[in-house]
Amino acid sequence: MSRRIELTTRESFPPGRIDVSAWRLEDWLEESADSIAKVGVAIVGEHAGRIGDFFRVTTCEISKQTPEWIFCGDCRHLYGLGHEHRLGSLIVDGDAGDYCGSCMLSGSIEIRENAGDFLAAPTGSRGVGMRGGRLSVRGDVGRAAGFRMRGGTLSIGGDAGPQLAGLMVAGTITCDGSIGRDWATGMRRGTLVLAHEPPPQSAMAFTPSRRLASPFLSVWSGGRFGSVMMRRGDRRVGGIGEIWTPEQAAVA
Amino acid sequence: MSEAFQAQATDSPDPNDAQSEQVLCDGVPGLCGGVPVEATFAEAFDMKATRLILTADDRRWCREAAAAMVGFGTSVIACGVEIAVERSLTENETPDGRPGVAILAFAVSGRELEKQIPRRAGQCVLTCPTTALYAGLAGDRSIHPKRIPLGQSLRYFGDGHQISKVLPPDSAEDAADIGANGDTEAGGAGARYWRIPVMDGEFVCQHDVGRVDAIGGGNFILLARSVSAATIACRAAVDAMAEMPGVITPFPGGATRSGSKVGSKYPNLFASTNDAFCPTLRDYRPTKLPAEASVALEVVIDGMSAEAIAAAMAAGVRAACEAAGPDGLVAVTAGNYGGKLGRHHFHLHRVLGSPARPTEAQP
Repeated sequence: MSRRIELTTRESFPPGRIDVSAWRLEDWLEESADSIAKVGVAIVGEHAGRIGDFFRVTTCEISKQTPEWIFCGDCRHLYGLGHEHRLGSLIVDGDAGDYCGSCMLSGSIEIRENAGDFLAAPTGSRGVGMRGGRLSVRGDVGRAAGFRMRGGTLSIGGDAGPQLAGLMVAGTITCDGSIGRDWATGMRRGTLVLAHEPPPQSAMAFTPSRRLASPFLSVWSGGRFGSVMMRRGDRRVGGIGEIWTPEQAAVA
Repeated sequence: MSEAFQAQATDSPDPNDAQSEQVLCDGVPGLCGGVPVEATFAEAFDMKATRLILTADDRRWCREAAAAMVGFGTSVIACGVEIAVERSLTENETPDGRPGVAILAFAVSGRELEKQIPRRAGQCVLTCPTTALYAGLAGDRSIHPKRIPLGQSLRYFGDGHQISKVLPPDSAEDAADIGANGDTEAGGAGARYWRIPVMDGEFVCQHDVGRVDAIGGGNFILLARSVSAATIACRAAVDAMAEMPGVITPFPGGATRSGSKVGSKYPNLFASTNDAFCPTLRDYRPTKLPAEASVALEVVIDGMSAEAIAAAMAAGVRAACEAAGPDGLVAVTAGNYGGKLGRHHFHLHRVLGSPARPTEAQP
């Protein structure tokens, strides 16, 4: 048995940005809905308020082993949602704001619409972004998603903005849509799996695309495919990261 | 059910078993396929075990890698590990959708397994074209905290070019426990795989595999009128057990002629020939060979559980008796050390007594 905590945005949701990077699901598991509603929030450029002013909070017991944290509504104004997320499932049933899943450690985050900039990136002066867990976005993401990512899996169902996988160190990013310019700049390790050919990149950055046939592809894809086209780089920084594209995309 | 067998640990050989009215395979007390089955028991020991899944592009590479991997793995007495192919796996049963085999390995200690498995994987699987190696026991450290390194050791062969990936439990399917019950336990943290560049592409290898408590030394001894009859009986028994999950018969062809007793006249040997079953010694040493028997061959079974060993023993004895019949086999017996060394006792009559549920025999 575990708990589900659900926050639904109210009509009074403020136009200003709310920094929620200090919110932790594990800190709320023992709290009642009323207690959570009384937690103070700081709205950038505005006076402080309480969670209950902007969200309707409900909690319930669930039969799952891990807790669930659900945000319903437009959450684009939430900055740093899921920062250092490490426990259970965080579900955003709507759009998510900037720095969602920043420095994520484990567990899962599911964003059912679009996400803002710096998805799974580090915050402040931190040098490491997402380190573990699974983060999935059904829609598009902004710029610099997966920046300095060091582990875990980031799945993007739509398009990704520029600077995807910048300075990536490890982990896996998949993108089913198109991606913007300056992808994988400074990438050292890790894997970027693209459904389409990416925009042109400096010839110095990545090796020519070559066919990779490995049993691992079948393990990784659940048997969906057994070979891909692969580039390695970013060679400008001595990186050996991988960019996978489908064979037919490379031929085209 | 294991407890039922463990409960027999304190049993000495039951003299009443000799007059047992236990009805065996053919409905006649003490007979199986017309062959007398002695009222005795096999004495087995606690061991540590693991399961590996080996795959390759085709069945031939797979067989060849497996043959190398399990080579010189007949007995812990000198090989360090008892290891053999458990069964073949279809493409649907392996993590990468290629033909494979499941391999079971048993050792007297976890440390010995940790020494033997990476060594064999490195020299016999990594070296064989197109192969990959996966954990055959599902579950991460939370389920199997004791681990045997695979890619954890072999990755260094990649000289820094190796790549690791952790797949979430649901996508990795945790290589599917292909165990006796077909159970699949999802490992919480996912599985780490290593991709090591080699001359045919990549050698894929899971980071490590769990190890579990298991049992080694289940056995039965076929007392035959001739070598050819013993061979027929042995092969039928081993064939009957070949695809049974959770057990292996690690000796060549599944049987051994050099059954051993504990100790020796030579102080540095802790096992020596089982002279009671040697036909050339019968005239001047105490013998356990019936007068009509001229050959004894022992089938040794290691298993992941007492139930698996009991089921295999029952299937093996039945097949042997059916194949050779009373014209070929004089009797079936089992090897033990008086019940003082191993805490798992498999009484032949109890194992054979209930065909539908052979492991339900009670002390």
